[in-house]
Order: sequence, then C-alpha cells, then structure tokens
Amino acid sequence: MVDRRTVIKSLFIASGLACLAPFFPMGKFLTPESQTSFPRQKVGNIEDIPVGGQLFVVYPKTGDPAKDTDPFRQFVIIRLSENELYAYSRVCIHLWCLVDYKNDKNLIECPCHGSQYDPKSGFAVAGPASKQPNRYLPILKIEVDENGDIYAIGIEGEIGYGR
Amino acid sequence: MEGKNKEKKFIDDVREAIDWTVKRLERTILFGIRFVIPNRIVSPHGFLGMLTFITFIILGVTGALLMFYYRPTLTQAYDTVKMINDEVDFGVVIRNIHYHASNLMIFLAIYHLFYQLFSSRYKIRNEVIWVTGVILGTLTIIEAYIGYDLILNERAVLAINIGAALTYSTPVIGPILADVVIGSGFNDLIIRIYTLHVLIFPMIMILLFTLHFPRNLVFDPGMVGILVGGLFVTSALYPVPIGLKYQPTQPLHITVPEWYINPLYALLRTGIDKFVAGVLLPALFIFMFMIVPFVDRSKGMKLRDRPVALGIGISGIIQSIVTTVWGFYVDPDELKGFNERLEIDPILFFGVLVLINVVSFGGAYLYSKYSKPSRPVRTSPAKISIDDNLLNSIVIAMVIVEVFVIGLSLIKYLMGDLQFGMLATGLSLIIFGFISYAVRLASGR
Amino acid sequence: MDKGLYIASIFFIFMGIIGVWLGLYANISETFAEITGISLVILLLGIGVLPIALYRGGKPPIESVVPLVLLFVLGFYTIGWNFIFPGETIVGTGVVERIHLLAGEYWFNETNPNITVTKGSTVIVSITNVGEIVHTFKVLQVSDDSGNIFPGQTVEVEFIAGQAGTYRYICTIPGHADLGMKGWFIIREGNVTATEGE
Repeated sequence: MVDRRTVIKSLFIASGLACLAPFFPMGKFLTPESQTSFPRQKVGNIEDIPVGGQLFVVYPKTGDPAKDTDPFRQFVIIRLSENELYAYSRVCIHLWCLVDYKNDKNLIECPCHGSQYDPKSGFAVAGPASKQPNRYLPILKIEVDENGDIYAIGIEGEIGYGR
Repeated sequence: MEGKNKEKKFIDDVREAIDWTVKRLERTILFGIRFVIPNRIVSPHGFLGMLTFITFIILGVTGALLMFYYRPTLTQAYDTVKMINDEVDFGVVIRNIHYHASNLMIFLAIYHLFYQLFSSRYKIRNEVIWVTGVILGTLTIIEAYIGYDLILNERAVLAINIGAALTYSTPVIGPILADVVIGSGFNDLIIRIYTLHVLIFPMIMILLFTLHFPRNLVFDPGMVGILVGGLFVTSALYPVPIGLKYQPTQPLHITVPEWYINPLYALLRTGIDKFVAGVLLPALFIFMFMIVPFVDRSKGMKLRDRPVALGIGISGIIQSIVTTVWGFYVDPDELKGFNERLEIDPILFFGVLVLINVVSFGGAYLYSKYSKPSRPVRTSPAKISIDDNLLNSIVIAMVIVEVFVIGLSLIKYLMGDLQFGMLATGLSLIIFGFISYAVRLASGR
Repeated sequence: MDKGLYIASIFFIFMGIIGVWLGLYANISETFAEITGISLVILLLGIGVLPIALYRGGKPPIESVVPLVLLFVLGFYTIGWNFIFPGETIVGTGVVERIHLLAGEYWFNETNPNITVTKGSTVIVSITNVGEIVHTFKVLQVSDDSGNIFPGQTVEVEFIAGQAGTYRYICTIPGHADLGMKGWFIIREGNVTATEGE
C-alpha cells in the first residue's frame, strides 16, 4: 500500500512538471514565420521574360529596402522555352555569391569562383559547388495563372546550403 | 598641543566613518568573498584565472561602448564598424582593445587550463570547478567567433558560411538550430548573433562564473597593471585591419579565420564529412579534457604518478598547436583552383594527429614508469638584497618616469596621434605594475 | 628556480622563434605572415618571464643553461641570420617597358598573350578591368599582387625584371587562374643599355 503522503507529494511534483508543458509550443517564437508559412505573392508576368532569358525577383517582398536587398531573398526565374519556367534561389551554395543564367552556355553560373548549375534541375555540374555533398540549388515554387501572372508560393530546400 | 589634539580628532573621525561604512558593506555578498592580495612576489601562474576574468570585464566595458555606434543590419554593419574605426573620436582605441582583449582572453584561458592540469589542481574536490571551467573555455571561443562575424567583412562572411554549413550538417537538431539562428536570411542572422554575442552568452558565462570561482579570490594590482598595459601596447603596435566589405556579387579571397578557429578550419579542409570534422572531433577533444579528473584517480600530485593526465596534457598542447599552424597553411601555388589550394590530405593530417597522441601517451607512460624521483636540490635562496634607500629612490624614479609618460600620452591624444598615445598609456600602466612590485619588495621586510 | 615557470618560458620562447620564422623567413605560405605578430608577443613574454623563472625560490642549477643555449642557437640560425643578412636588392638598367592589358571574365586581352620583356628593364603593367567582377594581376615570383581591380578601374603594377626565365602571369582571385586567366611572361637576356631620352 502506498503511503498517502507519498501520493500527495508525487502529485505535487507531477503538477509542477506538468506546468512546464504549455511552454514547449512557445519554442515557435524562435523561428521566424517566413520559414514555415510562405505567402502567395505575384512576382511578375511571363511576358516580362524573353525566351531564353531570366528575371530577378524578390520573395517574400516586404517593401522594406533593408530586407529586400538581403541576398537570401533573391531568386531568378528562367524561361527556357515558350512555356518552360524554372525558378531557383540566386545564392550559390559554395560561398553565397549571387548566380545568374548565361544564355550562351545554357548554364546558371556563379561569377565568383566559377560554379555552374544545370538550369533544368539546379544540379551543380562544375566548379567548387559541385564538390559538396548537397548539390542542388533550392527551388522557388511558382504557379502561372491564365493571364500569365507568375505567383511564388514557397521555397524548397535550404537557401545557401542546397536541397 | 591643542592643534595636535584637533588633528588627532579629525583622523579619528575619518577612521570612524570608514569603519561605519565597512560594517554596513559587510552585509553584502561582495564583502563575503575573501580577497587575497599577496605580500611577496609570486609566480604569475596562480593568477591566470583572475587575469582571464579581468580581461572579460574589459571586453564587457569596451563592447558596451561599441554598442553605442554599431548597428546590426545587413547594410549598416560594416559601415558602422568602419565609422567607429575612422570617424569616432578614440573609436579606434576601443575597437582595438576589444579585439586584442578577445584574443588575450582565449590565450589566458587556455594557459590557465593547462596550468591547472599540470599542477593537478583539479584533484582536491575540484571536479565541478574543472568541468565548468572547460565549458566556460568552449563558450569563450564560440563567443569570440560570433563577435568577429558581426563585422560582416569578407573574413566574417567566410566564417558565417562555415558555421552555417556545420549547423545544417548536424543531424536531428541541425536544421532546427539553423532555422533559429539564420532565420530568413542575413538580416535575421545578424540581429540574432548580435543578441547571442551581447547578452545571452555573457549572461550564461557570468552564471557559470558563480560555479567556477573559488571562495578565496586572489588579486594582484601589479599584474593587472602589466596586463592592461600590455593590451594597450599590442593595440598600438598591431592595429586590427577592417578588411573588405562583403559584396554578394564579388568573389571572396582566400582568408584564414582567427587563430582559435583554425583547428576547426584545418579539420574541415580534410574533406571528410562536415559533421564529423567540424562538430564530432572537436567535441571529442573537449571531452578528453573534461574527463581528466574522473580518469585520473591516482593519489599522488606529482606528474610522475599521473601518466594519464600528463599524456592528455602533452597531447592537448601539441595537437592544438599543430592544427592551428596547419590551418594557416594555404597552398602557395596560385595557379590552382579554390578547393585544390585549400585541400589538406586527410590521411596525412589524421596520421600526424594519431602519431602525436601515441607519442604523448607513450612518453607519459614511460616517464612515469622509468623516471627516478629526484631528490630536492638544496640551493641557496636567491636573495634580492637591495639597500632600502636605493629601493626608495628606484620607486621615486619610476614614478617620475610614469608621470612623464602619462603626460606624453595625453599630449599625443590631444594632437590626434592615437597610436603613439596608446603606446605611452600602455607603458605607463606597465611601469605602474613594476612600481607596485617595488613597493611590495620594500614593505616586505 | 621555479620549475613550472621555467618550462613555460622555455616553451614560449621556442614557440615564438618558430612562429616568427614561419611568418617572416620560411617562405612556405603567404598566409603564415599573420602569425608573426602574435609569435613576437609570445617570444617577448617568454623572455620577460625567464628571469622570474630562473631566480624565484632559489638560484637556478647550472644545467638550466643548456636549453637556453640551444634556443639561442636556434633563434640565431632561423631569424638572426636573415635579419643580419637580408636578401640582395635588384638593380635595374633604367629602361622602361609599358604594357597594357584588359582583364575580363577569365581572360587577359581575350587570348592571354605571351608577354616578353628584357632582363633588367623596369616593367609597368597597367590593367583595365572590363569584366563584371573584381580581378587582380600578378607575375608569379616576379612582381607583387596588383590588389583588387574593380570593374572599370585601371591599376598599375611596377617591377624590375630581375632574373631571366619563363614565368606565369595570372589573376590571383581564387579559381580564376584555373578558369583561364593565366599566360606566359618571358624575361629574355639581352644587352640593353640605358640610352638618353628613352
């Protein structure tokens, strides 16, 4: 038979520990919203991009110039043919320079140390970025509606690190 | 006779007032701690802990002053640091002291650790103090690393890159931790590591201080004077450069991190899995130090009786130095690509480390087994016999020189020549240290 | 003698000598230059603490001199020698040769041409960056690094072509030489005398 005093004491300790439970979900305070909820934002129109060309977009745009110049918010949308659009993060996964698409080579190239990515998959094919275990450029998920407006709806992968 | 009585009364009043205040202060914590000021010339080895703490205070003060001007945003971080360096009056002094003090604190902490290890001071029921000490050392290095990330020059961004890659590559908690620290980009990253550097880490360290300081604190004003003076002298002779601003579209040169991060840098450059190289192996190294009081159960205090501790000590020192210097080495052939110049052959690297460990532990074991305990050699004590009058004149001469140097430094500050002024300030503080030792010698009769 | 302090000061002096040697005179890697400052401080710290170590608590035994002598020999051989006998300076003939180069993404003058100069002449190379990112210029083993040349900027590098031979000129930004920014720089022997008015 368990002693009544022990029961009361253990209930006391248990209730004290249980008081900690509501604090766990508060851990969400530490992660900023933009990592978990992606707003649906219009970033451009398909007619703005020439075939074989690119468009630099900022996502998520906040209107605050300090935030919008952040390299981690810069993305590039490449139009490989009439209806083919590919969108990636512009942060090179080697040392975080901003990449852009070179039409003549049909490759996404980083100007800093010569890393090159395949525009159809974001896979690093040459340069220092191709030596890393994680070799894909993060993708910007986009939707195009009937007017040709491009909406960005999310990010896949870790910007600056890979996918 | 009347006059003398009045004088005596005044001195008595002053003594009473001091007595009264001291009795009130004795109710507080500060006066509960026993301060020991030595009355002989002692070895500086026992004061390393105190010196580390004094450096911590200097870092706090200079850091707080820097906070008046520094702004933690992507666009303004480098510009405000440059402004502190170039435009703010005496900004270059505060910034240089902060930088050199950070290097000095890590150096003193490591020296302090090895002294306690070799003199077996962790034995006399000091295990908790030892463990908190190792934790404090690790926190100091991380804190210094975060500190120079805040400048956002090329070197800082390279360091942030390495740190981010290590955080991501940690299994299980890695991505969550990366989310918390890096957030949605550089802007989040800067202000979060700013908070970590300015408040969270120092607070944790101060909490750990309460579990690390012994009950009897030593304090030696002479040594503190020489230390702070040395800081000013090194700041004057080696001003820290500001580096190039980080531009996302311009390539980064090959830079080497600060010397205390170099072992990590060398490990990462061997090319093995990032988590193993950057987190697991350093953690293992730190763990090796942490368990010293628990694996060394011998009764003796002499090194001969403690082969394990001796082995850990020697292997720790040699490994630290070899990995640090190796981290500085970059293949000088500029024709090679980025990665080829940085590559370190893992077989060579880890082979050397294993060899060091084998030699250290083997040597320690052989030393403990085969060395004969030496009989204490009786030499005549070295008596510094200086005539009292000579000593007094030396003190007076030093005071005159010190006042002259202080005057020189003030004039140089007024003229705008900060570098020379800092040199003179440093020299005056060092002279003060020597004066305190001379006075101690004189009064120790 | 305070044994612990003695071992510490010997250790510091040894580390300091090795550090200063690696930083200034060993010529193993340019990045070693960063450790010169701290090594000098450690060396001076060791020397400063040595008297306290030797005389605190009693006179030192005579054997303690041996490590000091060894360290002194080491210091003299590595640092002192270079300090007393620095390398010889190159004297030029006075003839000036000017070269102009354009630097772009991953080439010099598009074809990375061979550059030939005569031994002894003062060479002034001016480089204009017509590319989109920063570049540099350096003739390996012959000239200094030009430093960063930003897009649109022109920077001059001046040096004396001392030794005859075939050298490489490159852009020193990591990776650029690997991607193609390199060419041959030839210094040929020649009897060139300084003529007036040239």
